[in-house]
Amino acid sequence: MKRTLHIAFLTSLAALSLLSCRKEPALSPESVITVPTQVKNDFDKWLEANFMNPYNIEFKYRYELSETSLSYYTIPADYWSCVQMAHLVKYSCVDSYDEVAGISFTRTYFPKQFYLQGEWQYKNNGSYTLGTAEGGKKIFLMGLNYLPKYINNADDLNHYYLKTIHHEFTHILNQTKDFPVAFSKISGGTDYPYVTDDCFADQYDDYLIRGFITDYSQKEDREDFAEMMAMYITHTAEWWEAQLTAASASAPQNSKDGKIIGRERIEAKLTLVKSYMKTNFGIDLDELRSVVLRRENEIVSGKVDLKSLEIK
Amino acid sequence: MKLNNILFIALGAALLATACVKDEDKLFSDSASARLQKAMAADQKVLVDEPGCWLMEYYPQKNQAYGGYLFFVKFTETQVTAWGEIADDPTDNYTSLYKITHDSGPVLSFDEFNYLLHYFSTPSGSKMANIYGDTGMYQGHEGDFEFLILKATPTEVLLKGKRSDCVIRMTPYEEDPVQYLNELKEGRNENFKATVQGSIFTISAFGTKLGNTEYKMEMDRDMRQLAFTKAGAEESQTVGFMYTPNGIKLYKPFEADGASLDALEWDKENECAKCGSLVIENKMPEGWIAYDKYLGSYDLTYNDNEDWYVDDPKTVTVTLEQKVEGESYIMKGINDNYDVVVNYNLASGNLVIMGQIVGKFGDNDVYFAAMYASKGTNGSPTWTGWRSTKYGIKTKADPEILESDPDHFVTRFIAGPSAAGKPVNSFGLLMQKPDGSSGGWMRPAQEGDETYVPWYIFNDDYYALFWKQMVKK
Repeated sequence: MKRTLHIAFLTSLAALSLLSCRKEPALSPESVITVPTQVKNDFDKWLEANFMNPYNIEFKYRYELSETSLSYYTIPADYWSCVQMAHLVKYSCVDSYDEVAGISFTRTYFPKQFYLQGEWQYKNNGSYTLGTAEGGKKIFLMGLNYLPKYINNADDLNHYYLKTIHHEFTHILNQTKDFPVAFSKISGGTDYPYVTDDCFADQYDDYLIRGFITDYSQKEDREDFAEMMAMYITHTAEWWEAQLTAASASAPQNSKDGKIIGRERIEAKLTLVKSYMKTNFGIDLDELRSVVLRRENEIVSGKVDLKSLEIK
Repeated sequence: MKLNNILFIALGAALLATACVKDEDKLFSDSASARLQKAMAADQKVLVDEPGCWLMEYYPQKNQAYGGYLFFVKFTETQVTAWGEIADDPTDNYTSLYKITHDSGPVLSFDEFNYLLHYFSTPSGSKMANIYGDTGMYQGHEGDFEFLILKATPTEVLLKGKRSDCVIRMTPYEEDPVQYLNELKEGRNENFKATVQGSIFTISAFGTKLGNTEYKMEMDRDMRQLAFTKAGAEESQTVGFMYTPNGIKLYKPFEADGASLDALEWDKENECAKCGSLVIENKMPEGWIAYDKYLGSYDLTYNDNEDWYVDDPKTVTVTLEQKVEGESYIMKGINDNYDVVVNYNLASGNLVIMGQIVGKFGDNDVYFAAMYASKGTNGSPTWTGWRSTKYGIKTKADPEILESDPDHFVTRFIAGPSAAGKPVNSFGLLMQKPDGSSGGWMRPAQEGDETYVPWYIFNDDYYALFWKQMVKK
């Protein structure tokens, strides 16, 4: 009994001792978190007028360690390369979707953040990354310091930069509306299936005759879908037909029945990509392609002033 | 009183005693965040307020393995303009954005690409060259473009590379940066040149006494490293350096035995290096021998070619006579019909014997040809591109014998490279016909054919294998 009393007394004393401290002074009205303020230059203002205000897209062109991948040695991008890239993204991607699908489509779905970096991401085995996308939100464009070398060639521009944007954008659309299961089944069977991380291996460089539009396509169904869409809208009808012709050149290696299947499979996939875009977003893929190509042509032929920071 | 009660009261008292301690006084009047903002603003003001440029002693890589490079930087509120010794033309300058941000303290970040300032941090692929033409450096040169600001005063700014931890010093420079860069370029080419045996020679080794200890210093001019070796010691300590118009400046002073060395200034008049009151002497590379010392007779050892796959050394006497002073010798004693030209290499103080044409036999050119023989295989030595005079062998003196008995040194042959990928270790006599085709070995033709008596090497056979060494008589 006495022991219980002791304990009760000590507990209340302990409780009292907690209460007895002086009150904290009032919280400071000033936040300890500060947002770095930087003087806005002409490009910052142009970005605000062309990306932030109309689309709520943040276009980061200055180096921020926290935006980069710490697994690589990365460097900032060149200012004028960034200015041109911003025009490229605006003119050939954003404006294309505006023109074909309307501004509310672009506002809703187009990625909300771009981050630009000067070099590619080199691995110690010599391979390197052209670009990545994160969580359907951020598109990470690399190798900006090589833009002056590629700016006058549509194939290079597509390969190194623009195709990446359309490809990543397709992923974002897929995350909003699933692509049809039927698509996954075309190359999802046991004959000539997806090859996951071996997609760039020499043994699989006959991807066309196995029914894949690029080597990366054969990684998995969702990459296949994104590659189909990105390659289709950034290439001419002649180019596409040439791929299909190459795809029907022969039966795949180790084919049991010697049946030619490349063209058939790519065409079946394209049909599903087209109907997916039409049904879900009201976009005619051929119309989108003609708009994208027209705009890319205008860029390569120098009709668009990629360095103008005039705000219209 | 029971022990229990005593404990009870003591515990209660202890609780009460600790119950009300006043808040500690704040050490600072402002919040940490506000103070950081102030520090950033103050640091930027120092950078921007400098009316001239900042002379930046830039070191990439955590061990300063590439040495240091000079940049000049000039700041406005938003931009930085840079000049640098890596530019092809000293007048080249590049302007880019920068910012002052913070990590654990204020940070200077060159956050827009600048062709000069980002050279040391730009990576490259194994086959894909970057914009500077470098390949195979996925880490670049491991240089920084973001720095913690350790100190910022109008007379000195100290930065620390975020990745490399290298300390980078900036000091105000009021004169023309282009002129300084021109002087630096000239100094880099002209300093450390001394007259040795009447020729201009770039000194890259030095000796000095730090305290009571003798040190040897060897300078790697390309990688910008100065290696200090204590007398008698095997291992050396290396410190990165950068060039200055007058010599070199070390990343940090080398300290030993109470003395320190932080720079080498070249005294052009006296052709010697200086550092304060230290006495610094020029040294020649290990095994270096003066041109004149080579003149004279030698025992030259090679492998006897009768059974050349068996180690069977044979020694002959040869003599080196002057051909062109300071440049070449004539080696006599090989055969009465011809002599061989031996070259002298001033930089390493050694001998070089190249494949060469030694005369004409009838219409044919006679080649003293650089050849490759492999040990333990019976047969003829193989070509190493014998018509070419690009291949040969060189010598290296034994440094210990050289020091103990400089008049009777031993110099050993070192196999040289060849186009065939085979080391040159032997010589053979071959002929070339006037039409350029091979005339074959220089040996007696058919038995009984007395149309010519071959020349031979060392009056013995038409090849001499595995050249080993020469001992000065």
